[in-house]
Amino acid sequence: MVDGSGSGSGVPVVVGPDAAEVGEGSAGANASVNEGQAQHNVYFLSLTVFHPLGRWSSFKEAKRATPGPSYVGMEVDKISNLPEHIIDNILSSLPLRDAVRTSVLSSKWRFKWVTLPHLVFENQSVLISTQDKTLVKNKLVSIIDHVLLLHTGQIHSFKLSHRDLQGVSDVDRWILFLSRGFVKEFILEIWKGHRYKLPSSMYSFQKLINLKLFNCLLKPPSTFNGFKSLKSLDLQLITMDQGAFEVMVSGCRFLERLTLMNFDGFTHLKIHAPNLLFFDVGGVFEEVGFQDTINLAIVSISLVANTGSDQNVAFGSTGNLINFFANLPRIQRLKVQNFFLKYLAAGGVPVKLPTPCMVLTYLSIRIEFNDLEENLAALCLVRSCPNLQELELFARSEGHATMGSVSNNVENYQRLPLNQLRLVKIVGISGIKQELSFINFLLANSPVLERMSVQPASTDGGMVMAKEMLRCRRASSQAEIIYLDRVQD
Amino acid sequence: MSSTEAKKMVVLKSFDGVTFEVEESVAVQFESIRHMFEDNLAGSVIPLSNIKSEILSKVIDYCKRHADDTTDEEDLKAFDADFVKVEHGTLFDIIRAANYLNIKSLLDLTCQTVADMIKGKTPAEIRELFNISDEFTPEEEEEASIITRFIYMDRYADC
Repeated sequence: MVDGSGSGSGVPVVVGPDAAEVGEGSAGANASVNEGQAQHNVYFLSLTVFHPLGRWSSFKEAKRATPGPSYVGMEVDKISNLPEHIIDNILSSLPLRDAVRTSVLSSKWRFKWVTLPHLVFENQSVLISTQDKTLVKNKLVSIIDHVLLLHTGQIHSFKLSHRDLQGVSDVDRWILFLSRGFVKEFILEIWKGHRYKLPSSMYSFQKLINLKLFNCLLKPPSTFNGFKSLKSLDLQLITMDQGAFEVMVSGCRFLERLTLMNFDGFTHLKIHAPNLLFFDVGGVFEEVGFQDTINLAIVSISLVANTGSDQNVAFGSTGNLINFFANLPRIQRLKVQNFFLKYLAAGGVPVKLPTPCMVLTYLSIRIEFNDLEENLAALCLVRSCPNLQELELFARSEGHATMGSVSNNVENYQRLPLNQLRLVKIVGISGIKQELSFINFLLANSPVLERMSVQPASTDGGMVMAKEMLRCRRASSQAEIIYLDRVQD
Repeated sequence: MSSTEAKKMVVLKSFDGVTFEVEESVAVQFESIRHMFEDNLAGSVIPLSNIKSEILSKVIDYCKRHADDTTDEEDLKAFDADFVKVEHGTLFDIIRAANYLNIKSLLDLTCQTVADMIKGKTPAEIRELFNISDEFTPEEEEEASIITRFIYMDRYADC
C-alpha cells in the first residue's frame, strides 16, 4: 500500500458505490450486471460517464433511503446474482447430481444447470441404497434420459462410465442424440459385459476433439474416413479390424495423442499419423510399425506376450530395431515395457542405429539381463542416443539364466561417452554379472552423471552387489550412488 | 515496499481510494487491465472502481504468491487452501474481483471453493448457507420438485 489518500491523482475515480455489491439488491434479476468478459473494458472505461445514470451510484443511497428487505443486516444472498458464467463455473465443479439439485433452490436457480456444457455420468451419479443392480441400471438410464431431455444448451462433453451399465440399446439412443450436436469430448466406458457395438451414428460426430472408448466393438461404415478434428484418441479393450483401424487413424489428420490398450482383431499394428506427438500402446501385437510419424515425440510401448523371436522379424533382414526407429526422427521420450525389448532385439541388433536419435533425452527399458540379444539391444539404444539425460532400467527376470549366452561380451561394452547422461535408475536387479557389467559401463562412460539409484530385487547378496559397484570406476566425480532397499511387492 | 527501483511498477486504486503499488510481473495476471499498463501507461494510476481495498489487497497477495517462481507446488496449495478460508461475503467479493480482473486461476479456485460448500448438502442447507430466499411460486415449486424427484429420486428432493 502506497498511500491511503482519496482521489486526486488526475485519474477519474468513482468513489462511493460499492460496485462489488451491484446486482445483489432489490433491482431484480433482469438488471443484474453482466460481468462477462466482453463487457469489462466497456464499463470499466466509461464508468464515470454513466455513473450518475447507472445503478452504480444507487446502492448506498438506496440502502440509506429505502432499505429493501434483502439488505437487512448482513444477510444478503451473494450467490444467486453472480454472472452466469461464474454460476456455470461453480456448477461445472459439482457432480451432476448436485448441479441438477440446485434447480429447487429458488426460482432463479431453476434453469441454471440446464445449459451446463459438461455432462458426466459416473458411479456417484446414482446414489440409491440398493444392491439391486437392475434397479440401479434402470435409474441411471432414467437419469440420463431426463437430463438430456431437459438440457437446453450445447453439450461439449459427455462422459458415461458407470459400473452397472452394460452396453445397452439406451446407449445407442444417446449416441444418436449427441451425434447431432456439438460434442467435442466423448468418453464411454462400459465396465461389464460383452464389447458394446457402437452404433453407426458414432462415426458421424463432426466436432470431436477427444474420444475415449473402453470395452467397445468398432465397425465403422465403409464411408467413414476419420474424425476430422480429433486430437486425442484413447481406445482400450477394443475389437476392430486392421483395415478399419488404419483408415480411422490415418483419417484423423490432426491426431496428436493415441492410446491403445488390449486390442483384438488384429496383430500387426501400423501407425500412420503425421501430427502424432504422443503414442502409448500395450497389448498383444506381433508387429509394431510406424509410417509417416515424423512428429512423434513421446512413445510408450508395452507388449504383453512373449512371442518367439523368429516370428518377430518384420521386414526382411534389417531387424526390428532399425525398422522401429526409421520413422521416429523426433522421438524425445521412449518407454520400452514388458517384452517389447525382446521384439526389438529380434532379427539382428546393430551396434548403433544408422541414424542416431538426436533429441531423445529419456529412455526407460524393461530388460531381461540374462538375454544376450536384449543386452545388445539396450546397449544399441543407449549408444544411439547421444543426448540421453535420463535412463531407467527395470530388470525383468524370467527366472532362469539363458545358458551360455553372456559369456564373453566385454567387447560389447566398448568405450563410448554418454556426455549428457545425468540420472540413472536401476530397479529389480539381482547382482548377476551382466547387470554389473552394464552398471560398470554406465559409470565409466558418463562424465556428468549426477545420480545413480539402484534398487535390488531382493536383500540377498546386497552387500556383495554394493561392494562390486563400489569398485566400478566413475567418469563423473559428482556421481552419487544410492543403494535402495529392495523392491516392495 | 523496498528496493523497487529496478522493477517496473503499476499503481492500482481501489474504489475507496486506496492506492496499491504492484510490480508489473504481478499485475500481468490481471488480464482485463493488462493493456492499460502495457500501452505505456505505466506510472499512471489505474482505477479499479468496483473493488474494495480490502479485497484488492487480498487479490494482490494471491497474485504475488502465484507470480513467485520459487514457491513450490505444495506450498502454493497450502497457500490457496488458506486463502479461501474467509467469510462468505469476502469470498464472493473475491470471485467478482477475480472475474472483473479476469484472473482465471483465482476464479477457478474460488468457484471450486463454493462448489465444495454446496456438494452433498440439501437444498435447505444450501439456502441457509448462502441466504437464498425460497421465492418459488407454488406452481414453480411443484414443477421443480417433480422434475428433480424424477431425475434424482433421492431424499434431498423433498427439501
